[in-house]
Amino acid sequence: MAAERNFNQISCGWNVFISVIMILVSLLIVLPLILVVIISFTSPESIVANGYSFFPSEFSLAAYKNLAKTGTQIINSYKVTIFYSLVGTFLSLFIMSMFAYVLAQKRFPIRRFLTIYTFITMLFSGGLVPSYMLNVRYLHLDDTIWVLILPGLVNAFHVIILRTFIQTSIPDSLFEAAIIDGATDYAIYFKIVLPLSKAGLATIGLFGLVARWNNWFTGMLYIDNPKLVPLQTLLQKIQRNIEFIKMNAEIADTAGGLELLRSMPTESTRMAITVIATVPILFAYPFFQRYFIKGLTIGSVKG
Amino acid sequence: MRKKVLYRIILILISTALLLVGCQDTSTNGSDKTEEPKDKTETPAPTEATEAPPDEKLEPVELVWYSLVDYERPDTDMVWEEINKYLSEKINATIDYNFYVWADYGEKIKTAITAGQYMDILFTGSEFDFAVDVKRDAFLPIEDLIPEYLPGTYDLVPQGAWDAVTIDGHIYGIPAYKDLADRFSCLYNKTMMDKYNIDVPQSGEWSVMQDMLPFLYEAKAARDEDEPDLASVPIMRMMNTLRRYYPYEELITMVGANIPGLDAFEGKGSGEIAFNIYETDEYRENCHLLKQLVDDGIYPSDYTNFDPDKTLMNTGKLAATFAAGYIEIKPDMYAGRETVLTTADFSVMTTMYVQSSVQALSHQTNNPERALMFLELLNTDKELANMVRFGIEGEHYLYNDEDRLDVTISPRNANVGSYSDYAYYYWYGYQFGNIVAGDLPSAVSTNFSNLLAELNDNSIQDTNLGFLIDTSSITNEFAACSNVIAEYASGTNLASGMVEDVDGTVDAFIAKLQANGSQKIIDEVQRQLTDWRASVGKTTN
Amino acid sequence: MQKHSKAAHIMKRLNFKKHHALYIIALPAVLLLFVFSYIPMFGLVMAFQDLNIAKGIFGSEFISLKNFEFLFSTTDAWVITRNTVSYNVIFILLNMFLAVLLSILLNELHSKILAKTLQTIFIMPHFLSMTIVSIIVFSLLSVNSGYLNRLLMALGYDKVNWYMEPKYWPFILVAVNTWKGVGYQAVVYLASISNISDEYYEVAVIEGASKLKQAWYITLPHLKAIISIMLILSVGGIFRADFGLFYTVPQDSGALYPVTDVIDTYIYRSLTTLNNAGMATAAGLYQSIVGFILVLISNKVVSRISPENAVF
Repeated sequence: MAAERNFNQISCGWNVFISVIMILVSLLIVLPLILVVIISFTSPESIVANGYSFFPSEFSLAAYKNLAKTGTQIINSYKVTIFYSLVGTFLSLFIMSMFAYVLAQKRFPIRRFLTIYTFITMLFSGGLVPSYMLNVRYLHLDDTIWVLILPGLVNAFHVIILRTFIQTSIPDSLFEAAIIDGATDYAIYFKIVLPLSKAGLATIGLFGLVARWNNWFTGMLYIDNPKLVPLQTLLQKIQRNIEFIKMNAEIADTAGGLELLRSMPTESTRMAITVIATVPILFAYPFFQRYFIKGLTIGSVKG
Repeated sequence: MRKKVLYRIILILISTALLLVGCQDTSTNGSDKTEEPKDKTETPAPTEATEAPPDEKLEPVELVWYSLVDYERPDTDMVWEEINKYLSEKINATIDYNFYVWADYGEKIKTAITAGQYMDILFTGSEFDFAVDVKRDAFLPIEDLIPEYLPGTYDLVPQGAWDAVTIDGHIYGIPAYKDLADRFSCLYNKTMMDKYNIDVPQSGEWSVMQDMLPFLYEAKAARDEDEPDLASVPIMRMMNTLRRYYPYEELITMVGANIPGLDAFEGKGSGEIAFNIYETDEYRENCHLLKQLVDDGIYPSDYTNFDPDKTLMNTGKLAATFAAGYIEIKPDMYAGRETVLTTADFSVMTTMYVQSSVQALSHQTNNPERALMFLELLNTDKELANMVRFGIEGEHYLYNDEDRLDVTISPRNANVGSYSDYAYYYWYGYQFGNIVAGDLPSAVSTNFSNLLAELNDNSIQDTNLGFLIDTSSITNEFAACSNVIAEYASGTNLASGMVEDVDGTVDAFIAKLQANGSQKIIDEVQRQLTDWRASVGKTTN
Repeated sequence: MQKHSKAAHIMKRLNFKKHHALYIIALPAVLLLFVFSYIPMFGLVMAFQDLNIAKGIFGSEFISLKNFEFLFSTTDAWVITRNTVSYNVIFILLNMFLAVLLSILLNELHSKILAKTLQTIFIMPHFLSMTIVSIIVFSLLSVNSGYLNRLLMALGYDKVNWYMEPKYWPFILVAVNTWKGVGYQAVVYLASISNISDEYYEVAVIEGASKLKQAWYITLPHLKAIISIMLILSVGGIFRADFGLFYTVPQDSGALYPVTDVIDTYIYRSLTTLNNAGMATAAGLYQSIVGFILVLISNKVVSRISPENAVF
């Protein structure tokens, strides 16, 4: 086995060269991210005196303490966000992959029609107001967990990508053989499509999970119940209040506005918000990664 | 076969979920439920009017109120339970209180209004497209109901403020009784001024920003000499609002009119002429002035991300800050030094200022009379006003030895770190109407109400209060010019004081405005203005 | 007689009896799309209305195409269109090229751990919001305290007022967009590559093909389908721009508009005072229609060349 594993590698020289270049590039990429973390641990006074720096004169946990003040609210938000992100992604993957499977079957009579049907939703949207009317007045989804799950379950872009994955990684002959063997479409889906689409599912699963985790807008528009407020809605609220006051000079110019600005959290708090909002997703990430970074090199024997 | 069953189960689960969701009672937000069932319980409008005094005849009604708060406070539900009990007794109504913070409110109210979401009362203002919503009939005119249901509030709010919300003879909202006139104020660092022996113009001795520049220059020179490493720190925050230098009435973006008595713009009449503020000599001069002030280190350069008030003002390195709307301040408002308030010698009641805090009734409200009754209470009833601002007596506030309402000695509000930490506290609370309807908190002096009344009563009025422009014939030009204004006049361009070639840029600005139809806008506004003034009987002096 | 046979003909074509399972399997997605995507499309009618709140969407007056006029009546109409399309073309092509390159290279590294770590790093910028990105960019480019200017001054050069010099911004914006997008897009290609059967490479090695040849003759052809799909779908968005990138990152600086003003920022700024829901809807519809037409064209082109790589 060991001998076979190495039989299609690039030479050591190339490996080092490429590795070094990529490491350098990645340093450039990661530098701003590190800056974000450092700023979150910098004291406000230090920022005023010296601006942002990789080596601040004074560290402090003030930003995080500030955020800890919201106490149980943050924990609730974490809980509800983890719940609806996971449930939403799982359900969505299931429904979309079934649909993608059908769309990949050339024998399906209305295949072209449904593809166009799906694709149109990617480009055309009625906008915020009609969706609001639908979700609130007719479906009564507002202030429930369902508004965070149902509307985004089918994403046209993801469906088409999943369909493409199925088409390219599962040869038609496999389907034909299964049909000749008398397998039902359901069986084909569960026994053939799902197992062979792991990479595609992991990709779209990751995209879906990240999108749900980062979505603050839906919560802002539809959720009032503190137990249901998503994490990003909570955290972005602080961020957006600052921007709103700043953008509306009329308010900023008045007594009330000034008071507001004075008691608003500082730059370091905004960075701290980013850190605690992003870190959990990064923990989830390796779980997906193993499905699409495969093996050492192309050419290694599977299993 | 098993898979088929599994599959079917999932399909059923999803459909059931959708059904459940459709049938369940939305417990926390019953707003859309009030459409059908609730309004049947209301007594028909005309008869209710004659039955007002005997409360037992009033049917219970739930009013949906969309409003704004600056901070979400944890004890809000608790306080509103009490408020609703009180209201049930008084007018047999309860409030379904939907409140949002600044940044969210704009988005929510805009969507809710356009989507036709049911509400009775809503907070609105110029930042929330009050003018646009009036034009598209989002609000209910209330002038017929005011004499009967809002008499107290009507007397309280000055006539000029009512004019500002009266469009084409209809009153569309109730201005909050607060500082209704725009009075430019300076809060200066007295400790620093005393140290360097600098005289600052006192209240009533100055009018516009230019009058205050001398002392600022003095302060900067003195401070930098005393502390040379502060040479790169400005002496105050950026002040680039044009009307602080040349007061004018803003009819709509880009179009202004002079304020009678001030007539800051030469040759532009006293309120009957509409002109393009960006084409004036005064504007050009102001751009030059801003550049000079930034170059001289008075104003910060690169100011868009610079927040001196948060930190530097607190450290005493700045000489002053400027704002509007201060009635009085405490000398120790900034830690470590004395701060004194000095105000300009005039105040102006402008449409924008009045419209910054308005309660309006939605056009679809089923209970306009009851809504107004509630608003009347809110503006005149001491107990209610105290409750909405300060919470529950004994929990959130107590009366101290001097018989002042004090929140800091109450069980739930004691030991708070900063304004944002109170369990329940909304002072000034202009989103709740009349700010002096209740007791004055210990944070302000007992003279507060008098000072407030003085400000409002002695203000100059814009001549064109209540004039709302119909933009339908100039929408395209307006859209295009909005972009040009964002490009040139904003805080990242001419208003930053960092533009090298001021004249060249201003010329380019004006040229581009004209190329995009600015003259057509001015002409149209002038035409509408002249017609409106004639129709309401305004004479030009 | 003709109608009857036509209906029967359609039913026969649809072939429910043979493919009933497929229809049922597709049903949940089709229903969800109908409810949450198609039903709200009734709102598009606002693009043609003078929306009055009292009359509501169903009662307001129709004013045909008047709401669309403002998109064309500005002297900047060409500039914003040119900016939007050019940036998008560069973004699409550049990001795709780099993402594919990245995914191939990552798969060649000897150390799996290094590959995984690098890939995690490359994907991280995606998680930052444009607001945070704009703060970071500001810390670099701020006139007095930004890193770049401090560096320039230390080296003896003059400060640059970055937020007022348009000529640098195309590079800055492309750099930010690439930094944020490449790692994430690479995931799609990584997943595709992992699906390529090893047999192909085994054969290639036996035939003595170099790595470069393997990439050209095996890897890339297998990626053809996903690449062309991604391209066609991206074309649909060619009239749309990332508001955060073009508004927030340049701090809405007026001096930069000639190179940062795109259709979406124009729409936003036009409507700040007017706040007209009809105009906003019209603008979005305009962007959608153009994108749709372009997709139809590019799909047609691709399906002529290789039908299996088209979207439909």
